[in-house]
Amino acid sequence: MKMKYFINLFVILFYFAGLTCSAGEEISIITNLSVPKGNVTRDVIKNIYSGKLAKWPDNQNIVLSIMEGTETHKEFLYTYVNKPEAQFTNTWRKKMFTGQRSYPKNFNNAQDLVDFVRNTKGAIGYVNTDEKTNGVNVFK
Amino acid sequence: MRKQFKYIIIIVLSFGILFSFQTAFAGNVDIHGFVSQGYLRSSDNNFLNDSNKGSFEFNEMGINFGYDTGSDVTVGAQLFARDLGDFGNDKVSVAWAFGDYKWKSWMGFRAGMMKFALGLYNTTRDIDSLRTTIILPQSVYNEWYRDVSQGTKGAQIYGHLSLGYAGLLDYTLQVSGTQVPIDSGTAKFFLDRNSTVTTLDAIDVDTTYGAALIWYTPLDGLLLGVSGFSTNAKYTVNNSTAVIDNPDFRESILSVEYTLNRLTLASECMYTTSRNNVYLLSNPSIILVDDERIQNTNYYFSGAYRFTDWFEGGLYYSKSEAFYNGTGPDNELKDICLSTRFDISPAMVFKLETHFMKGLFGVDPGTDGTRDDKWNLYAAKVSYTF
Repeated sequence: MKMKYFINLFVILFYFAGLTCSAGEEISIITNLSVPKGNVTRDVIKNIYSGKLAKWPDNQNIVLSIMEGTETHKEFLYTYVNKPEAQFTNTWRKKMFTGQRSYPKNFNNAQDLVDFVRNTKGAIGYVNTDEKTNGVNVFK
Repeated sequence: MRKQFKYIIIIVLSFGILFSFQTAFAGNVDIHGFVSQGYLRSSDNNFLNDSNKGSFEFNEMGINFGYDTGSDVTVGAQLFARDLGDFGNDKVSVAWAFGDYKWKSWMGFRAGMMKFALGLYNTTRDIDSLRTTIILPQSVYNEWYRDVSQGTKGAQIYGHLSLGYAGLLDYTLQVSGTQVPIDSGTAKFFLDRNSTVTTLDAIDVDTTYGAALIWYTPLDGLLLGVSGFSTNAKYTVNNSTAVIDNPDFRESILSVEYTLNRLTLASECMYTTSRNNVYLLSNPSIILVDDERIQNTNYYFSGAYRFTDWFEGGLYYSKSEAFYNGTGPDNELKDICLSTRFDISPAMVFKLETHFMKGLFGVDPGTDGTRDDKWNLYAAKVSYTF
C-alpha cells in the first residue's frame, strides 16, 4: 500500500518535472577576446555554468559572470543550462562553501557585465541580444 | 559561560581580521557565511538531542573566506561551530583550510585541512540551506560518526576528465590523518553502544586513504558515483586495560543522482566493514575477541521537487543498521521523512519536516525512561546565508 502510494507520487512528480517556462528573451553568450572562438559550444557553456569546467582548453582560468535575479539570467539558465535558478544557486554555493570555486561574479546590469568580460582574461557571460557588446566575442 | 564568551571573542576577532584582509587584498577576498537554528521534538525517545521534551540545541554557524591570487592558486578557510545535543556545543573549529593549485583541468592539488569527498553530501553537510531536508538520511550521513570524515589534514589530487560522448569524470584521491577526540560524537556513540566499555581513554586512527569518482553520464542529469576510504582504528578502553582494534576499516558508498528540471532523485548505499579484535593492553596475547568480521549495509532513496521559486518538497526512506552484527529493533532504524522548504528570500530558508521512525538504533530513552520502537520526530529550521 505504502509502495503504491510512493509510486503514484513519483509518477505525478515526473509529469510536473517537464513543465517549465521561458520568458522569450534572446540570449547572446560573450567571452573575453583571449578565449579562442572555437572553444565555445553549447555543451561547453552548459558544463562551465554547471561548475564542471574550470579551465579553457588553453589552460586559462574560466571566470564566470552572471546577472542573478534578472529575467535574462532565468532565460539563460533555461536555454543553455537547463536548470531552475534555485538549483544553479545551490550548485555554486556548494562549490563556494567547500572551497572548490568562487561564486560567479554577479552584476546588476548588462553593461557592467560586458565591461567585466571585456577587461578580464578568460571571462564568459551572457546578455540580451539587444545589448551593446563592443570589444568581446559574441555567440548567438 | 566563560567558554562561550571566549568563542564569541574569537568570532568577533575573526570578523575583524577578515575585514582587514578584504581591505589589504583590494576586494580579491570573498567572504561568505551561514547561520542556522533548528528545533527538534519527538513523540517518544530522545534522538540527537533532548528531543522528547523539545530542544533548540540544534544550530550551526560558519564563516568562510577565499583568496584568489589571480594565477592558478587559491587559498581559503572556513570556521564552523555547531550544537546538536551533546555534540559540538558551539565550539569553534576549522571546518577546512587549504591551498589549491589548479595546474590543469585534469589535475589539481590541495593541501591542508579538508573533508573527505564521501557520497553526495559529506562535504556540504554543515550547511542546511544547500539541501531540501533538515536531517540528512542517517543511514549514510550518521551524525555521530561525522568526525571521522570532517577536518582531516592531508593532501588531495583531483581533476575533471572529458570522456567525449561518454560524458565527464570527476576524480579525487586523498591521503590524510584523522584525529578523533575522545569527547567527539564518534567517541560518545562508541561508549553508548558498547555496554562492556566503561571508559574510552584514546582513539588512534592511522593514515586514511580515500577516493571518489563521479561520472556525469551522457544522459543529461544523471550522475553515478563511488567513493570510500580505508584506515585502521584502535580504541583504548576501561582505564587503559584493553584495546578494541579495528584494522581494515573500510567504508564505501555507491551514489546515483538524477535531475530532470525541477525534480531530483537520489539514492546511496553505504557498505562498512572491518575486522574486530579485542585484547588486553598489558598482555596482547590474551585475546578476548579474535578477528571477528563486522559489517553493515545502509541505504536510502530520496526525491525532491521544486514546485515554485519559493517552495520545494522532499521525501526519503532511509534504513540504518548497527555495525556490530546485531539484529532486531535495537540495531536498526527505518526512517520515512517528509520535508518542506520555503525560500523566504535568496538569503533565508525555512523548513518543516516529519520523520516516521521504526527502530531504536542510536535512540535514547525519552523523558519517561523508556524507548518505543515506533515513534515520530518533528523538525523545524531557519537558515540565513550570505
